[in-house]
Amino acid sequence: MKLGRIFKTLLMVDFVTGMAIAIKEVFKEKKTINYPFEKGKISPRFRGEHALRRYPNGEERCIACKLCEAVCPAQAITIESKERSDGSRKTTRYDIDMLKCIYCGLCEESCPVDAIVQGPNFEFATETREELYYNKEKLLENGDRWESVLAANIKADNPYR
Amino acid sequence: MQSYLNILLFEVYRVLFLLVPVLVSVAMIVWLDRRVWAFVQKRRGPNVVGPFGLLQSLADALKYIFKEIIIPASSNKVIFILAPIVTMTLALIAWAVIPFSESFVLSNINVGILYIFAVSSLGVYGIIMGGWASNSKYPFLGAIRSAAQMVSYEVSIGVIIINVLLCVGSLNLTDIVLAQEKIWFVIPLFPMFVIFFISALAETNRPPFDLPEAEAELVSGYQTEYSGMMYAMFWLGEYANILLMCALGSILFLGGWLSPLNMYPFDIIPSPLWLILKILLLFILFALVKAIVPRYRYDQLMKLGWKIFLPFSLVWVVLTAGYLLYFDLLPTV
Amino acid sequence: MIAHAIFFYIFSFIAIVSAIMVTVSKNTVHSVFFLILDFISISCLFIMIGAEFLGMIMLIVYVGAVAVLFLFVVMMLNVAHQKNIFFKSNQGSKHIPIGLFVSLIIFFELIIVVGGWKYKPELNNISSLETTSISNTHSIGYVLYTDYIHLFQLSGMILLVAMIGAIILTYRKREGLKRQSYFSQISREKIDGVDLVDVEKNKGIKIDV
Repeated sequence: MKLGRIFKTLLMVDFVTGMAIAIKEVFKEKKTINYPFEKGKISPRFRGEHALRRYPNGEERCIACKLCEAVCPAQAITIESKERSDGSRKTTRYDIDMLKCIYCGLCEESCPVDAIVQGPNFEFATETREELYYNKEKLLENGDRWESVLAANIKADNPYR
Repeated sequence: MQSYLNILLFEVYRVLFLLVPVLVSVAMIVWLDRRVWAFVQKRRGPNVVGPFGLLQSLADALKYIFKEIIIPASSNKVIFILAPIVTMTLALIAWAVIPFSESFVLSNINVGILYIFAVSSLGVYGIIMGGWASNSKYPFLGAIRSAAQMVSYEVSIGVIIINVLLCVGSLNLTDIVLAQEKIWFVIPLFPMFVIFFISALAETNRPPFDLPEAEAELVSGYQTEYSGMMYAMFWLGEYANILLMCALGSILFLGGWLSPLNMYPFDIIPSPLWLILKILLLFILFALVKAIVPRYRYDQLMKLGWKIFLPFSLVWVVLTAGYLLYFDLLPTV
Repeated sequence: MIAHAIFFYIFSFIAIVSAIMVTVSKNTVHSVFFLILDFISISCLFIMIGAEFLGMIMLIVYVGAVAVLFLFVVMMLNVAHQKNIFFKSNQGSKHIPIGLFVSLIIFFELIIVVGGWKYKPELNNISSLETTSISNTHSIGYVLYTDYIHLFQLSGMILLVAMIGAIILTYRKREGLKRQSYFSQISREKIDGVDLVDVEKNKGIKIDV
């Protein structure tokens, strides 16, 4: 055992050094953000809350091909469809169980018409489970609310697809 | 009868006058603890409720009050309920003898230091009772650990107190403070102050000695089965104990209510405020230590207590006594 | 004085009831808790007669240390629900006569002690015991460290020897056991741990020499 080490232990040099570093760190800039009031930057690829988009003329994009339902690994999506009076095939029911969903983004990938997308919203916690069984109205409403952001995100991500 | 009632009411008033500020400051100190911890780790800490998050503890307390109290079916119900009450009561009654200034003390008994020592040694029962009555493995292990730890470190705290008492010649806390008018004991007895500080960390189950509630091994030790207000009472008792240890440290070593220099800029601050400032300083040290040190292993803890602190402070008792005797500085009764 | 009397009767009532409960309660851990309650109320009685030093020492030594060890033993041995035969069965227990015998002896000893105090007034006159001008802490100190210094030191020595004896009897050093020395662990420095070596091409290096 070295003499210097014994002195270091007796005088608690390591402890005092640690304390000095700790006090120095107190006055440095914070590394965290003030969350509910500030938010971090989110990538355009961020996979948050689902939304069903519409065409600019107000027509639903979804053609009820059920690719998303088939690809969903958690089987969270349920789709029923019917032919509409103008001959186009549209969904009558589009449900996502947000509690089953694992936010893998495969539905978004599989969609041929960019109808179902995962938006940047991640603050959709609710007080009851029932509120998290999303139906078509809720998803379309989400799409209407986030449309500008969603379109911009898809455009920004386009070169890498 | 009337006079008895008057005395009783007056005493109740005096007790409340002490206890309410202590409880409020316990809530504030929890906030300070979390805030200092966060700042060392470059986080922000609680800053939403109230200005700078000062009311965070109040919000937490409200949450605890409205939560359901769950009592395990196989627990020993009377002792289970008694345990947090014992912890809280013992943490609060010790404040009766802490002198805030020469005249401002609830009860100036002449064995004050022994009283505090006795009450803090009783504090282990709240934990043992809670751990045993839960009738569950983790709380029991936590309680056993905690009891062994507190009993061991009480020994070294007792020997350190003897060091101070040798220099004072009285068991009265006011006398202990007044004996430091010339020089604070932290200067001649500095190694004892360091050991007292570390033993106080162990005595109050603070990191790095928070083995009773080592969350990686024991979930949260003796508090595992507690919920709601009963958990909050454990929590309040723990922090009241920490504050008490800080107060004891400032009275024994940092000159209690005395100002550092008895001259102009220092003596305008009233003496209770000096004690509070010293308690705060010690508490910030407690909080910083929590942020910078890893947890001890159990055998290291016991080795430190029995094989290093106890012999060292015993040797220091002999040194102090010899010094005082040789230079004829022994206090006269 | 009424308040004093009320407090005295409260504490002595608690002391007697808890002393009875120590022997009566079926759960051993409860017995220990009642014992602690007994200690506490007795120390309160000590404080009430003005022997505050004795009361505090009682709290620190008996409640703070001895009873904790009692609790440890009782909890560890898991004798929590031992059946109390005396109160459960009709034929009683073999230990009862022995217990009665011992308690009778203690009872007569107490009578002798109290009687001696009563009828020999000079028994409690110790020359250096001065109760008027100084606090009882100081007077206990004077008596212990002047009149009884040798007995006091001797009892301390006996306790020390008992402690060391207990440690020696239970201590055994096992061979072939790997132990950690945390002092040598934490006294490693960066210089001891890291060694920069120039490795020759196609030669390699032997690490643990």
